[in-house]
Amino acid sequence: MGGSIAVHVAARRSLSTLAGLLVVDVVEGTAMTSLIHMQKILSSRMQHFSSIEKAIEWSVRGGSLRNIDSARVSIPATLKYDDSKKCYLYRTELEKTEQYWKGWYEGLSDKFLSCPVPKLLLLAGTRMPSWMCGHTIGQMQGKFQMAVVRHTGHAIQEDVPDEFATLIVNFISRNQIGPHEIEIPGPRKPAFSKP
Amino acid sequence: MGANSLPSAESNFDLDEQISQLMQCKPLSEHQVRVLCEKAKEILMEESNVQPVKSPVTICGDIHGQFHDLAELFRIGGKCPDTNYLFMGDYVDRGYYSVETVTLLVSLKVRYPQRITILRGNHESRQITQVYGFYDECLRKYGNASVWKIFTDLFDFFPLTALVESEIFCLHGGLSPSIETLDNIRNFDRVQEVPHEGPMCDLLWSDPDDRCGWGISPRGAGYTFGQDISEQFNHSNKLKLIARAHQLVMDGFNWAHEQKVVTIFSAPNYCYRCGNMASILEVDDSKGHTFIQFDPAPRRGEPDVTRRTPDYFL
Repeated sequence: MGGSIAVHVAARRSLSTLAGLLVVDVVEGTAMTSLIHMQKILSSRMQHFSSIEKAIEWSVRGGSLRNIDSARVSIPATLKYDDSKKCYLYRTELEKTEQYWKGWYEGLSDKFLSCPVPKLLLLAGTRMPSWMCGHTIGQMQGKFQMAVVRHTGHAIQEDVPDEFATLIVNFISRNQIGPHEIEIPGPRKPAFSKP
Repeated sequence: MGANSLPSAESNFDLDEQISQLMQCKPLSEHQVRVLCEKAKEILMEESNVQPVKSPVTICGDIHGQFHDLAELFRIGGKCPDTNYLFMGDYVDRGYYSVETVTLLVSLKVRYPQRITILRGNHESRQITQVYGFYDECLRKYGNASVWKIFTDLFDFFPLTALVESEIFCLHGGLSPSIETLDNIRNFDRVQEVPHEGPMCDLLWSDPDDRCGWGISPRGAGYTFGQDISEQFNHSNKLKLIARAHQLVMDGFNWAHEQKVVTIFSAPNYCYRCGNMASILEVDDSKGHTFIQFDPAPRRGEPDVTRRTPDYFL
């Protein structure tokens, strides 16, 4: 839901310093059609872990992450220890937020396109066909940049952090973001793909 | 040219048979594609980066693999070679029939080289086609990537722009801050993968804009250009009109810069869901302009494309 938060904040135009908007693998169309599956997906996750290491291991073996180094950093913060059950559980009970899901994603496309700053939408290339998932009309009207990142799951920033960083650096550089259009040192590398 | 370079009656017969097969949306064999593209390369390498075209001609925008809508376009605009055509790129990706679409257009180019002009779009690229569908479609229909490689090698030879009766400048995307004259375009080597930046990239990626001057394109490649830029370019090169494609426009065509720049989009109901009209631009031999709008061809069952279970994303 981070993508939804970012879009809603940007669309409000309340951040005077907002320089760009980057959304990672969140699109209204696929999100809305996926909501009916979400409770099933959540309930199929492993719920109890004897240790943080076990949770990290599961997130890569059976969960949605692909990069063990990244999981070691990101997974601990999602857990809390339950003294009565003597095991680790998810800190946030996502199942209980179902009443809000629709509100997070409905109208997201129009809000995204209405943001006045440069926009980059990253899509995970393993979801076929990913090019059908974007804001098709807005993209073909040239209103934002889209990059499809292959060999990654939903958490692009975790699965392929180097490629992700390159995309961000190129986006910042190309759109001359930063105080006094400071040159970012180092050679510009081509992003893997462009829309 | 020697007698050997003239197309033989036999090869024309083969081509006609292949075109007939393609018109039924049936792909050629890998071998046939290989032979076809070798012939196409010989023709295309002789064409200019600014390919001259005579009127009457019908100018077309993006097709994006929507084969049945291309057939509808020919039904409405007239068959090639009875009607002369100029296509401004983006034959592949997104639609379900990129293979049949691009093979048909290349076949028509080989069969009637003076009657049809096919330019390069930003999607006629190795990098883009690996992401937006053509590569996967070739794998699905041929079992390997050879046909994808054959076509993407051929794409490097497509001309970048065309000039109709010395007055209408046609290209896929738009202008470049690195290009002031048509000779600037004529002089560079186009036989390469579409670069990430620079004049060749700009010709295939740029868009016109309401704001003056050059702007950073939201697309991440190319530039946006204002009316002052297109006016200067048209004046410097004695042009009356810039016709381009690249952008989805809901009516199929859209005027800009006080009718000196026009966008033409020829994929109706783009991606089978955008609900837009398509259009083509007829330029008659008195240089009159007529837009013909059309709706999508009647839908048939779309091929099954694998969809994975949706990812966790909350």
